[in-house]
Amino acid sequence: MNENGHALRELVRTKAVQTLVVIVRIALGAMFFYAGITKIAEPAGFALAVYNYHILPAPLVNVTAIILPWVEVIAGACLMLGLWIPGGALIVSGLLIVFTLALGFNLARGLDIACGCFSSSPAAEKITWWYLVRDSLLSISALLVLLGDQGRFSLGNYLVFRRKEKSEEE
Amino acid sequence: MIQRIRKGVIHAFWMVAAAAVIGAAVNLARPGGGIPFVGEWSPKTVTKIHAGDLEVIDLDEAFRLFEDGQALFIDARESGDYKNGHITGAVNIPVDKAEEHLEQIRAMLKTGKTLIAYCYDMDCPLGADLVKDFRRKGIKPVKVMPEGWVGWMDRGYPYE
Repeated sequence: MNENGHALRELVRTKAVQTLVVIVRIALGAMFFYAGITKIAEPAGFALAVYNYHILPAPLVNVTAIILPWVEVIAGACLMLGLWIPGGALIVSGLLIVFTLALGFNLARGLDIACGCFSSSPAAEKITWWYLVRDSLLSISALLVLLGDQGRFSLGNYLVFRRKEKSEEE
Repeated sequence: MIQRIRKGVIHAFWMVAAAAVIGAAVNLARPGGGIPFVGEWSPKTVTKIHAGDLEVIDLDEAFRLFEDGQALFIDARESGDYKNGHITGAVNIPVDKAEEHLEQIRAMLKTGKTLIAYCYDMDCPLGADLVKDFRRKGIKPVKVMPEGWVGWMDRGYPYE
């Protein structure tokens, strides 16, 4: 381990950074959970939004519309609760990077489509460059959780702690 | 760090697998059987979704009315797209500006001609969105031409 790497580790472990990681983790989780629920409520509308991005081949559009909202809900719930945090953070950062690329691609080719981010309605929220900035910032914060989380304030840690306590009692 | 990411990949795999199972089950359990797992997606099917129960007019019919001087076209795209080229005589009413043009639409209806809204091509929902917005505001008899600007150009019909 070189000097810089060591200093970075120390910085990540500080209380301020860890508090930030927890806040970002819960906020991102809640956002994904909410975004997933709105899409589950309206599968046909979300399928249309996916089709309109013109990125996936037609046979994959509906399968994506059926599964993706649940991936968001599950990953979001895990981040919020603090269970399987590396998995949830990996999914959320991966999805955000894919979303950012898909948005950027369609903005660049000038497609006037609905975002399909928090609602399935084609009339609401047309994509703009602001969405690209938003998704880029969210991607960075998801990577922060993926790399910086140490399990503070999480259900996963609490369960491990309880199990240890129990085995010590016995 | 490497171990953490490896753990993440395994967890992520199970989360996606769970999502696939739950998603499929919920979709099957929906009233009416949900959406098909493999959908038919083409400009034609998308047009149907956009238009819903709106009155649709096809290119040939629209052109006939145009030749007889009985058609008034409404371009629902952004004003920049409209300025780059539009169906001859069309007025520009971008979808988000419907409110400002209600009087104009009512006046156009009084001429007794057929009002036809259009967008870029069959994938574009703005023409249908505009007609739906008019409906919500109490203006009913506006038709939508799904083939849009691209369809019109492909036929070599007049534009300006």
